Amino acid sequence: MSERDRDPSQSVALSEDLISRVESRVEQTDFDSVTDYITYVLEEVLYQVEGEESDDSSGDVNEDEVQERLKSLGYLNE
Amino acid sequence: MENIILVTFDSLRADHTGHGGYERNTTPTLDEMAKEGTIFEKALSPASRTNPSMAGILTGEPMVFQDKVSDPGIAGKHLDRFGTIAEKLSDKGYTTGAFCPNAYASRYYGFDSGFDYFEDFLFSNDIYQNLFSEHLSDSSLYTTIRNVRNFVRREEAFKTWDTYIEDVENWVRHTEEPFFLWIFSMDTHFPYLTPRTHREWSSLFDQYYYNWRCNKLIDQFDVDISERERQKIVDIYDDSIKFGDHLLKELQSRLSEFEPTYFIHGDHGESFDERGLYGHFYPALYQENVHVPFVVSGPHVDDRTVTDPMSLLDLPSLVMNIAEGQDLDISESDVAISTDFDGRNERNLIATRAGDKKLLLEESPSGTSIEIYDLAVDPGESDNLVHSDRSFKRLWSLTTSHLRTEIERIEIESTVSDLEDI
Repeated sequence: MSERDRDPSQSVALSEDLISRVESRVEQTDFDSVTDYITYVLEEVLYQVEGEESDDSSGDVNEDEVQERLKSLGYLNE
Repeated sequence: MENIILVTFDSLRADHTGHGGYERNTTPTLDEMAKEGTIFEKALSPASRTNPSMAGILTGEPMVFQDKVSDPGIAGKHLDRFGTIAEKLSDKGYTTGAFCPNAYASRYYGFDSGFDYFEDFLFSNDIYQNLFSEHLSDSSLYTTIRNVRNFVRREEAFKTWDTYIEDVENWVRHTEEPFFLWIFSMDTHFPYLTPRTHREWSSLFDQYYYNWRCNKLIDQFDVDISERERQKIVDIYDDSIKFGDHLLKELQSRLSEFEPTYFIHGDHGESFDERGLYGHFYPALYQENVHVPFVVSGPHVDDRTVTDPMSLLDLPSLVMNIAEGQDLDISESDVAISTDFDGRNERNLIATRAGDKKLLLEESPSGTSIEIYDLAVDPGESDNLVHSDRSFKRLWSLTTSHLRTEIERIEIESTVSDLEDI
């Protein structure tokens, strides 16, 4: 959350009703503020909508190989 | 900008380190670094297993999930969504590299995110592997033989630091500074293997026999073995810690000219029959599962002891302090929260530590259980105070707030993920 504080920001206008609805959700959680909550939701939306993926190097890994490695750790707990 | 080295010791308990109060001299190098640097006496790992714990440590955000961690999509999404300390340092101009032989923290789970170089030893071009695959149909026999072969050849899960320390040094010497290097030591993870010259409390026979014995106990509940046998298992664990500590000595010796700042920690703890269990196969958030060592040592790190509880979720911000040439900005909060989800048994776990009070919440299909302990007088967490007359308002408030946050995050994420289908 502190990282967010360092990013340059701009103001956005939202209806009081919307703010009020968010406020009532925020006060029961660990979200620090309305800004924090709304930023979290938007980042989640954008992450899904933009389909941002880093280089998916998991694709060049043999899944069976990995499962064997996990077993050889002494357990495959899940 | 400072060179930074993150050293993670798998399954290393704080109470088995010298500076953590252990009676054995298991960690002389780490103790010396702790004396000269900043020690966090009450550091808690974010979770009780490598995958969710390291996903939290590298991002600064707890991994919230209600599924089995073996699904690579969970950690992969978490690391990608929140970004890792490697990515942030890379953006600042750091060259980033990692040596991580734990498959649960491999590229398969997205842990290579942000690293210019990531060695997870995931591939073996070993002809024996193909031979076994072709000729053995019994998968448990195959796994056993493969494990014996790997143990002898020090490969895969049994890859001890001495087999790749040269590669680490080569990478550093051929890399542009400043660098961020992550070294993950499996040396302290079961099976507890220690080369002869480093063994102090166990013999070669002990090592083979009690690793085999321990292997029989992992995945068991209500284990009932003699105190002598339990101690033998602890002996081989302690020897593995001493061997792991030697990695730090080697790093200091080989890389001293680079004057790195070291961040050294355990990723989670390990059970030795505090509650009838061994290992860390069964997610739990007692002190033996989450109280880990955390030491920061470097040319510009103050000699200081932090006595308040803290979570390793704060590690990335502390790393950034050093990267930006600042002092460690240590939180004044005395609260640390660990969480985990046991996908096999559908148990959601939250442990909240505030000062010396600790609340453990477990939700499962069979109900909810609450345990509250005063660690100042009951460090072994045996006297549950939940039904006492004492009020633990603050613990309750912190825990319910965190639980609601988890629920909110899961709802947001699941709602948003439906957008993909539109």
